[in-house]
Amino acid sequence: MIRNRTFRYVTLIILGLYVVIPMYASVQFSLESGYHSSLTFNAYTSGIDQPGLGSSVVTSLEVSFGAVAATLLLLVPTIIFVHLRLPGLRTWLEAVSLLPLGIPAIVTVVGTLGVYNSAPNWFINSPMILALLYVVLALPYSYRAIDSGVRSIDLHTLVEAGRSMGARWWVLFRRVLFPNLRSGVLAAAFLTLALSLGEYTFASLILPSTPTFPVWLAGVVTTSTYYAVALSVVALIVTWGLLVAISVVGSGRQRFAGGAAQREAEAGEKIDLTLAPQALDTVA
Amino acid sequence: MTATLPTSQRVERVGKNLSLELVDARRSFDKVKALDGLSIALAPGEFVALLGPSGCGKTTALRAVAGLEQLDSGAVLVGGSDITRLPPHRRHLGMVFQAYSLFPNMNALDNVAFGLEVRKVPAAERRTRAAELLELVGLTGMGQRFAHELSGGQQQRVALARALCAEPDLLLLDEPLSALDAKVRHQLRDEIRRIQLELGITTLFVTHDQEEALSMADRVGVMRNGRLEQLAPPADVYSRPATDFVAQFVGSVSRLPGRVVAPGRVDVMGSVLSVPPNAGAGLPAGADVDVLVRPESVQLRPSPSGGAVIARSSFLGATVRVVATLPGGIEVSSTLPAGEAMSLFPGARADVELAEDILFVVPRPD
Repeated sequence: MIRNRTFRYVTLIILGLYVVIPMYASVQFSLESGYHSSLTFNAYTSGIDQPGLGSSVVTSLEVSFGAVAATLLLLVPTIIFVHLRLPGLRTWLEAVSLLPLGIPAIVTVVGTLGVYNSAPNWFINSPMILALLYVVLALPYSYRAIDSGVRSIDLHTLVEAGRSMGARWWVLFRRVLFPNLRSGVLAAAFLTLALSLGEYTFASLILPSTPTFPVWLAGVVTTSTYYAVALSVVALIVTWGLLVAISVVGSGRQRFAGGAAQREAEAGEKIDLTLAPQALDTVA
Repeated sequence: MTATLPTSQRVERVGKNLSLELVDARRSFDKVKALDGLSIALAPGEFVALLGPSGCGKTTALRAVAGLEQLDSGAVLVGGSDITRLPPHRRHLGMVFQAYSLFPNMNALDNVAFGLEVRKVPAAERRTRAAELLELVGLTGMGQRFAHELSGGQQQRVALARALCAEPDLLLLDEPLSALDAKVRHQLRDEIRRIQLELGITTLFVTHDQEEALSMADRVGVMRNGRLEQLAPPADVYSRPATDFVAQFVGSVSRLPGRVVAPGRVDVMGSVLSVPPNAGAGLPAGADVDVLVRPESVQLRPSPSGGAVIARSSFLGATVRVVATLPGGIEVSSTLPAGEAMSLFPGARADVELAEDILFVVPRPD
């Protein structure tokens, strides 16, 4: 028991150092800004004044939230439908969702441009095309997040119970399915958002005329490394902030996830714990 | 928030007293016929249990009524109206499932009120109504609890209240007690029957538990291979089975070798007994048969020269089930009062006597 706990702490500390040391170095580097005498926010103030920052951030946010919306609109109904009506296809879907991990970025880009060759210019040159591409890119992670959420509930029974009580599909989805799939949906949204905000290769190849923040940042590196590092730190904090905000907004379930043990005595009847792990899964 | 209507008014508000008919219902899954021309009719306010082994089609029949399975052919009629092609959400039926089916994101009160919510009943009215139903199922004051804060029995009570809240035309129960432990199952069994009688709602109940079916239902339908073998009051299903399958599936039986000595008369273990009509009485004289008898029709009396040897006994409370082995290795079961069974210990010899009520006679397989 003690050995297990020690192992956990050691692992956590090593992992923490692995993440914290580069971040600390980045912050230190950006605050020194080459003067080596005192710490200053010059890199931050000057970096924010760089031309093109605002538009690149807007483009990144458009692309990222577009990708999140498209991912959820596409995957949530599809995965629910497959679980309900075509369970035999689940293995195939899982395999297909892994494909983006094995296909080189340049192949995907060339393939995408080929597919959209006949599409109108306004579409090819808009951030929308990048958002759709990020849906595919995030598929290995978003698919699993939503799929595990769907597996953690008794989908068939909930759907049949709701339908038998007169609920149309839309009502059922809004009042029953989405609230119970919230953790999986949020996880998919996190992963897609984080991936979309930081992606460089596809953005630089497909949307060179409307740079996203990472593409713009790569250009700033040629002007000043300090600015680029300072802005990277800011981007990291903003991304974290966005993820935390989504998490707080979407984690309403946690308020009713506890308290079973305390109320067991009041119930006057043996508490059946079979649902408890499921509830915890959903919250986790 | 608390109930305001007396029970009698609730009865009027819920009991729709509509009939249910399944007419020549057929449904196949690949090459398996889940329903093979099933026809069954429930009178208004009647409680019918469908009983049968796994895969006999009883759940498919219930789901077809609910609209969760589409029939290949046949019809579902509720109150004389054909609802065969209606989607589930337009059938206006209440259903309780085998699995715990409460919506985890809603408390008990909101779960119960859900059927009214989708019908756009004003919030205050539906909460009052939901509280009434929670009171009906004995869960007053538990409306704020979520599914994971309720025991299995309580969850099924909430599910029952939820199924009844929107005043459905029918109540469908899909093995709602099978996940519960024995004590809670017994309690809830009685409560479901009480509530069904109180509300007078037509109810179709699916179970594989004979005791549940026999103790709760007005009539029991025994199914096999997608067909109805018998639909009759519980006492008739038990005492006057329509087929040898029903005789063997419901309750327990012993198979004893016999021979038909005259039409309607069979010699079994040296006693000539009458065969009830429709229980194999038409077999020709001289035919070798198996005679099916209930344990309570078999009497075992201690006797040092008896032909049977007691093999084992099981204590059942007021009674004891004693199994004896006859010459030839044939086993016969007898249910005896605990006092009478004391001297029938394993290894003891006993005489076997049969009462004059053979259950069924079937031709002995070659």
